[in-house]
Amino acid sequence: MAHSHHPESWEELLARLARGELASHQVLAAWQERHLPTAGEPRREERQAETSSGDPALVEGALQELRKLTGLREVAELAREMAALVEVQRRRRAHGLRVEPLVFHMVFTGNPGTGKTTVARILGRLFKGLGVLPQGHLVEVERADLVGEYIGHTAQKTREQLKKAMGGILFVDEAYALARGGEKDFGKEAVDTLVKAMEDHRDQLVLILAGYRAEMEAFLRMNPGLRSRFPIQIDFPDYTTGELLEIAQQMAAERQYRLAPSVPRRLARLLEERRLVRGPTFGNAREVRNLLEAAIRRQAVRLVRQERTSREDLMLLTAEDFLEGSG
Amino acid sequence: MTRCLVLGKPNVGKTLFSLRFAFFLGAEAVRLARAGEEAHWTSVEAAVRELVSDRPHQTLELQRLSLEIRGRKGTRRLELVDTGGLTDEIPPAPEVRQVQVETLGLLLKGGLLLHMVDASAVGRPGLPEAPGEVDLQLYHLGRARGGYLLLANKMDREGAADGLREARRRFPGVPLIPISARTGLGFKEVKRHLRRHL
Repeated sequence: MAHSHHPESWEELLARLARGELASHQVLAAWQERHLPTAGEPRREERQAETSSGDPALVEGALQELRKLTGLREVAELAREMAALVEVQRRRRAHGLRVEPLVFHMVFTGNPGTGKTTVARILGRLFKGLGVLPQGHLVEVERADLVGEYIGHTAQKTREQLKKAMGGILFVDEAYALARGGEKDFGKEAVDTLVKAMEDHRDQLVLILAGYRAEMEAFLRMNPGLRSRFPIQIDFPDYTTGELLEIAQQMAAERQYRLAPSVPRRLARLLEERRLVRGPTFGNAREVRNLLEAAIRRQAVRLVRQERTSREDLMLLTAEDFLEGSG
Repeated sequence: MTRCLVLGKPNVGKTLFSLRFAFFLGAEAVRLARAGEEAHWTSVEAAVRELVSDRPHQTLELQRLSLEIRGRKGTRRLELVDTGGLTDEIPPAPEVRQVQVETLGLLLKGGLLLHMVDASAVGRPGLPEAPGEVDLQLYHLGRARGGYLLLANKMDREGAADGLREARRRFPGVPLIPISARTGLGFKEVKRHLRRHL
């Protein structure tokens, strides 16, 4: 119900209905939430009694967010397909037709900073909106959060994380590291515990294993049972420099900064250099964020010396703010 | 003159009910202003032919019928407003959204609410006319606000009796009258109920 917390007037709600942003029941729900507080309590219970009706606004919002992500059109398309599939399955069920249980466990492959966590977080909202997951929150873990130091410790640690993720998504970053130590390693125990939880809590949990492409491929080869349990594999390619510049513009705008016309060329050069030097550890969008944040700090130093600063000054990042060796 | 809104999902029978109920109350003719031109029917059959179909979203303009309920204590007048269907989905067609805006626009302006559901579709959640989220919201609004009557329509259809039971369970604590817009079942009860509230 996050969408209905904005205090909106009746007229504004109707305008959003006219624009196709809200369905009529969402208008009514949003209005009642504010004006009929007593009706709120029983409504929630009854809503849960209804067979997972979902939240179309949340679904639409999540799909829109995915569409806005630079360079991830295929992910947005895949999400649209998943949403359609859930809806059609629901309709088939209503007509008494056979439905296969839907499995949404996924493997995300790609280098750092290519949008894996961002996408996972939005998918959480999508799944909540679709009624696939009750909460749709994201719990991000890595090997150290799952693997313990003695026999039995790993299962216990892994179960703790699973408990936190119940109702949402458990995102295992650099999941291939679970296979690091070979047969005797406790990583295997963590994998087994995860797999068991996936089967036991089918409707409560989506598991995403993420990591570098080559390492994840090797990991799945070594655990042949896993591949079939993770039917969806999404590859996150490195961003092109053009895409990274677009991301830089978006990040700057989000922070209410503007890039001077001279910035893209400088930024492109810095990014190219880093890509060359860092190879597969090149941080993609993360590099952009670091460079931008360094530039914001440098702009601050530049401006604090000036006696007067206009609004325009405060927003503008110039090429001189983006320096070699920063971030 | 009290306004009386007929609300509900598309294709639950709002228009058919409005027309038949108008003639049932003794209207000699219904006069509708749609898209600038005025149309006028003297028989329910003629009006139904033109205004009702079994496809959803036929009603793209609010249709207002001025009616009278005669009783021993004098005549009460009401304006019956047949509205466009409200949907759980966001309608892709802007003209359908517009009629929904107008419909909801009248909702807060007072008057009585006649909320119609399709009793024969209650147990079949896959059908577009099966009660959904929007019906739940109308019900909550109606129950909190009063002046609200739930009409379980299509009682002449198969499975409607079970649907009615389910509707009573799902929408407790509000007056509910089973009707059939096709056969006229329950019209007398609706009339009696309205007279008490006008």
